[in-house]
Order: sequence, then C-alpha cells, then structure tokens
Amino acid sequence: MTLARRRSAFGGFLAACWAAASASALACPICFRVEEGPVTDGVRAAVLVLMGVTAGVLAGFGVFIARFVRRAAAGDDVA
Amino acid sequence: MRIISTDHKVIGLQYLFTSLTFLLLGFALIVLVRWQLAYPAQPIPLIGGLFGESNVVQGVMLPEFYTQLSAMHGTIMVFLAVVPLAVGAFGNYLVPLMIGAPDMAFPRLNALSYWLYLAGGIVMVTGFVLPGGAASSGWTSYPPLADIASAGQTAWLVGMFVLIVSSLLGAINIIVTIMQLRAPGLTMMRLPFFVWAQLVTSFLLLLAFPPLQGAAVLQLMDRLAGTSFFLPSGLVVSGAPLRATGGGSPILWQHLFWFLAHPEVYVLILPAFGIVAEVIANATRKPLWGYRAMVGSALFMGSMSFIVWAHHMFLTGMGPTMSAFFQVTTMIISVPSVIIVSSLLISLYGGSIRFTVPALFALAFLPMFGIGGLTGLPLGLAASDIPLHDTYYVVGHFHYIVAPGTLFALFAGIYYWFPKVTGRMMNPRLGTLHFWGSFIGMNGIFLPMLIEGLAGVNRRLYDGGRTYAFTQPVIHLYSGQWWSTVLLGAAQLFFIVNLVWSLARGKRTAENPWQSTTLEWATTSPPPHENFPTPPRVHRGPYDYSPPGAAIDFLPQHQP
Amino acid sequence: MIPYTVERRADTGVTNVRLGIWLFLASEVMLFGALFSSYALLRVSAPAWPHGLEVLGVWFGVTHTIVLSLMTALVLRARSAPAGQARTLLAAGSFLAIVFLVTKGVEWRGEIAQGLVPSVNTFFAMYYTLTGLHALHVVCGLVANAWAVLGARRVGDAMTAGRIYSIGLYWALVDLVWLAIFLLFYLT
Repeated sequence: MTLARRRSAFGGFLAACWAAASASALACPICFRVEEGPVTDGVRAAVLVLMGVTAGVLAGFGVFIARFVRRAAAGDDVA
Repeated sequence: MRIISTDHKVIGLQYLFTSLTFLLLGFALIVLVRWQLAYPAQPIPLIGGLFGESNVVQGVMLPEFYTQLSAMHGTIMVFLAVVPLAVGAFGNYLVPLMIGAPDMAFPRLNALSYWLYLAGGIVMVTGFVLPGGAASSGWTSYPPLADIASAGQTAWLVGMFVLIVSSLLGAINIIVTIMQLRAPGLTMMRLPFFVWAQLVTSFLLLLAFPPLQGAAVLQLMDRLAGTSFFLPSGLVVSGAPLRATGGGSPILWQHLFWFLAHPEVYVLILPAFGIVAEVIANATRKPLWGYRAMVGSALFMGSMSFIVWAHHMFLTGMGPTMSAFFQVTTMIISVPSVIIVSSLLISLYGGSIRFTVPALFALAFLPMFGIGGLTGLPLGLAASDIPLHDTYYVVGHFHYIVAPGTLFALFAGIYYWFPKVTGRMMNPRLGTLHFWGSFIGMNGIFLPMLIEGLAGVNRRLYDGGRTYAFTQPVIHLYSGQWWSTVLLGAAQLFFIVNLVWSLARGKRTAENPWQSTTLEWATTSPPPHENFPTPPRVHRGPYDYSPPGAAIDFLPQHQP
Repeated sequence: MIPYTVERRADTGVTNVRLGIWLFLASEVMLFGALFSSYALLRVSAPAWPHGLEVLGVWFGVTHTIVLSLMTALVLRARSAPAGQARTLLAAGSFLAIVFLVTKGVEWRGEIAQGLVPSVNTFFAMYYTLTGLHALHVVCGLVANAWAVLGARRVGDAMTAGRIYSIGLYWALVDLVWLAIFLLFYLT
C-alpha cells in the first residue's frame, strides 16, 4: 500500500473511532447502562463479596501450594 | 463383592453403571422432545399411551410435559450422567491405580459419596410422578418461575442438595488421594495428565458447588417458608398479584447459579481432556507434546473459571464496566483450552498411530471440541451474544462440547480401560459401528442447531418457534435432526450390546494389551484387592514411548 | 494399608485427615461466603433495612457469642492436651454447644410468637436462613464430637488426636461464621 493510501486509511480509522465513541453510538441500553439503581449497586456488592471470598480461598491454596513445591523440590519426597 | 463396598474399584463401577443408566434416561427424554419438534402436535407412535393424561393427551405431548422433558434432560445429563461418569466412575477407578495407591484416602467416605449420589438422583427423578410433574423451569431453575413451580421443583432442589454433598465428599477424597498417596518416585510432574485433570476438576467441584447449595437452600426457603429471596415486589401471576413479601431479586439466583455452573462446564471437559491425552499418547507411541504447558493450562483454566460466570448474564443490564470485565476474562480463558487441544494435535505429528476404537473416539474429539469451543467465542462477547443468547446457537455450542466432545472422550475411555477392569477386550467391529453412527448422528443433530440459532429460533419452545416468521427458513431442518436422533440411538444399541456381550464373552487379554506406560497397567487385569501386590516405585515420567535405542517402543513408569 | 493416616507425609507436611479438613473448610467458606454475598445484594438494593439492634434481642446475641467463644477455646485447647483431658474438654465443648442450641431455640420461639417469621421481610428471611444453617452445623459438630470421643478407645490416641485437631478447626469456623452473623444482624 502506498504511503498516501495508508494515511487515508488511518484517517478513516480515526474517524470511525471518533464516531463510535460519541454518545449517540452507545445507544444500546444493554451495553450503555440506562440508569444507576439500587439493584445494580446490590449486584455489584454481591459480586465483589463473592469474588473477594473466592480470591481469599484461592490465595490460601496458593500458600499451601508454594510450601508444597518448596518441600518437594528440597527432596522431601517419600523415601 | 459386597454391595456396600469401600473398594474404590467397586465404587467406580457402581458409579459407571448408575451414570450410564441415567445417560440412557436423559437420552430417552430428549428423543421425545426431538419428535415433538419435528412432528408437532402429532400423536407419538407406539409409546404415546404410556405417559399419563396429565402429560400426553390422545398421544399428543402437552407443553407442560415438553418443558419437564427439556429441563430434566439437561439436569440428568449434566448432574447425574456426565459428571458422575467422568469423575465418579473414571476418577474413582483409575486415580488410585495411576498413582500406585492401594485405595482412595477415605474409602468409607467414598462409599458414602456414591450412595448419596444415587439417593439424590432418585429424589430428582421422582419429580415425574409428583402432581404437576418433574421440575420444568429449565436445568437452570430460574426464579420467579422456579419459585412458584409445582412440587417437582422441590424434589429437584432437595436432590440437588444431596448431590452436592456427594460431590464435595468425592472431591475432597480425590484431592487428598492425589496429594498424599502417590507412590515413591511419583512426583507431581510425573503424573499422567489424566490425574492432573482429575485434580483440577475436584478443586472446581469443591469450591464452586457450595454457592449453588446455598442458592438451593434459599430457593427452598422461598418455596416452603414463604420468603422472597428471589421474588421481586409486585409480581403478577396469571393476572393476579402474587401473595409474597417481595423485595427479592431473580438476578441473585442467576449469580449464585452461574458461579457454580461456569466452573461446572470445566468439570465437564477437563476429565475428557485427561482421557483423550492418555489414549492419544498411547495410540501415537510418542510422548505427549507440551506436557508442562498442558498442566499449566489446566491449572490456569481452573483458576480463571471462577471469574467468568457473568458471561451467561450479559442481558441482565449489568452495565459496561462489569460486562467488559467478564468479556475480557472470558476471552482470556479460551487460551488454555486452545493450548491443550493444540498440544494434543501436535502430539500426533510423526507418531505411528494405532487406529483402535478408543483412538477413533479420541481423534474425533479434537475437531468436535474445536467446533464447540470456537462457537463459544461469539457468546463470550456481549455485542454478538445479544442476538444469540437463549437461541439454539447456544444449545448447539454446548452440545458440540459435551456430546461429540466429552461423551466421545468418555466412550474412548470405556473402550480403552475395559480390558483393565475385566481382563477382556470389547468387540472392535461393534465399536467402529458405534463410533460412526454416533459421529454422523451427533453432527446431524447439532450442526443445524447453530443455523437455527443464527436465524433467531429461541430455546425451550414447545412448537420449535413455528409461530415466528423469521424461523420459517430453518423449520425444515427439524426432520433431519429427528432422523439423526434415530441414527444416534441405534448406534448406542451397538455399544450396549458390545458392553454386555464382552463382559461375558469378550476376548481374554494379557495384562497390558495397549502396551501402555502408566501405573494402572502395572498390575493384573482386573486388579486385586489393594491393587498392587508389591507397592510400585516410579522411575520416570508417564509417556516414555519409543525411547531411543530400546528394544520395545514403551518403557513403563515402574520399570527400573 | 493406607499410609499417612497418623504420620505426616514429607512433601505435603500433613496427614490425610488434616488435608481433608482444610479442604472441607474451604468449601464451607464458599458456602457461607455465597450466603453473605446474597445478604450484600439484598441489603444494598433494599429501599429500607431494619436495624438489628431494634428488632433482634442483642442480649441473646451476646450470650450466644460468649457461649460459642468459650466452647471454641475449650475445643482448641483439646488439640494440645493429653488424650484423657482432650476427651473431657471435647465433652465440655459439646455441653456448651447444646446450651447454644437451647438458647437459640428459646430466642426463635420468642421471635415467632411476635410474628417475626421468615416470610415477614428479607432481613428475617436471611436471619433465619443463616442462623438455621449455622445451627445445623452446630448439630453436625456435636455428632463429630461424639464420634471422636466414643471412638477413641477403638482407634487409639494418635488417630483421636488427629480427629480432635480437625474438629477443633471446624468449631473455629463455626464460631467465625457466628461472629459474622452477630456483627451483620444483631449489631446493625
């Protein structure tokens, strides 16, 4: 592709980005949240709590696994 | 052999026969559904009179019965057939053998797990004889409908609670067994990939099931104690306001359900990856390519599976930030499964492939899972999910993964390890017929679903969407799917006959007929009580096939 | 037969039962975590949420907390005590657990008599579900205590010590869950 063509393609790309970014393009109520509300807040709270608990439990497993890998590498395997 | 046995081999076989029975039952239910979709409101031939007046009137299926069949098909297949087969049967039987252990870590707990599974399954299926019939709110049991459904839904919830206890106990058993009972010399990186797959699967079962158990308790409270965890205020049912406290959220159920159900789909596929890896390594007479990458991928996939669940809920109005988060994690999680399948494919390159019946199923698994996985990508992106959500596209996607995917891997496993369990071979001609009939039949059923979904045909519709104008171009596909169902069913007959006949009259075989390297073949077929007369010691990795300069093309793990 | 029932495996550093109980407790954390997550959703999205201090008996809550904390202390002490003393401590812990259950029953009866049943609002729905499930766990813990104490003669001191270790951890989690319930329901 020639330099000129590349430049105009890039310009077109930028224009498309600008168009997409403008609010009118985000018209879908499913993607573009229609309203804040207590239910969405509640869902967000629930998701954060459950993900936090999960992260904690997985971190606990991670600690055990790290300890185990260290001990296994040290040749602490069964005789 | 006692019926209440604590021997993992007996328990594994109990799981095998119970889950295969449920598999057949789940299939029978969907045969009726496929008939209804192809020939709506026509009398069911031959067996139409067997289902009772509340389900079938003058041979014609009622919509209420259709929804029961559809919901119970999904429930039975996921919770009572595939997972107990993949984990309860294969996991229980093979894990202790593959690690050189005399049994599972907690044999009595193991027995309890099986009997709880059987009890839970029976309770769920009992729904069919209750007034109002079995659970009919989808296998996903969404409220508000599930909250106000008939008694069969309560049976579903109670059965599910018991099933989850069974699952948790089984998962604990498998993890402790793998970590604690490995034979001397069997380091984690010398484990067969099958064992790694079972380990990660058990972690997922352990951590993901409890929220569903909690949700089941909440829904039971709604149904029995008058609470409104999932019932919003102002609900109107059949024109009259529902007498309930209100203030609840149906979305709460969806979050708790999908928090389990997404890791559940990895529970459905990981054991299958494990089986296919064993069969392919053995069939190609080469070490598995990318073992470490596969192990890493399985671990990564397991961990990530906890943070993708809301991609089942893109249409619930969650807002762009949360939606973006779940889209990103969903795209990321597709990478490890690609690594695993690619490693298995690359493992074939340069191999001297033995095209046995297990190998046929394992090889077919790869492209079939490929289709299933790739069709999932548009569902993981919210924009493309919007027109596809709740259509037959989704149904086609997940059936490609579970049916010619997982189920093929499980069939491969049954043909492969049958000689281990019985000391006899299954008939290869019947096996080949079973394979081709199933392969053609499954593609004939599920490929059209992708097309129907793209056309916009919704799921769970009694008339298959015939009342909608946009479905007319694809309605003609239903009859082809019906005949594919008939072919699929006929192919299973070859399998059932083969299984029964071979148990009694199959060709007797040596200890290690597939010339495999892993530990389960280092003892007699079938193995004795406590598995190994002398405890094995492991000297090498699991796939030492075609070692350079050796006289034979495999070196077992336990051989000095 | 099955190794590592009493002695620890070198690379994992645990016995089978010890690993098993930690895994079980992880699943219990996920169970109660999901229920507290549900609490978060319902409370944050509710237009109005009752004050626990006004609708629940805070002195009941304090009593429960003291009884359970004492019980947990006794059971944890049993882990490092010699065999005979350990069984006595476990039995004492069981007694306190029964005290908890009886007091809880009295509290529930009073609430129900006032018409405060699960169906009255989501606060009470959550309250009864969580305290009910918690009480069920206390009952199961009592069974476990009995199993450890009554089976001690048959399996010997080493095995029993392992069982008491596991049971101690279980009661600690049950107590922690109670503390969360106390904080989130009684003290709000």
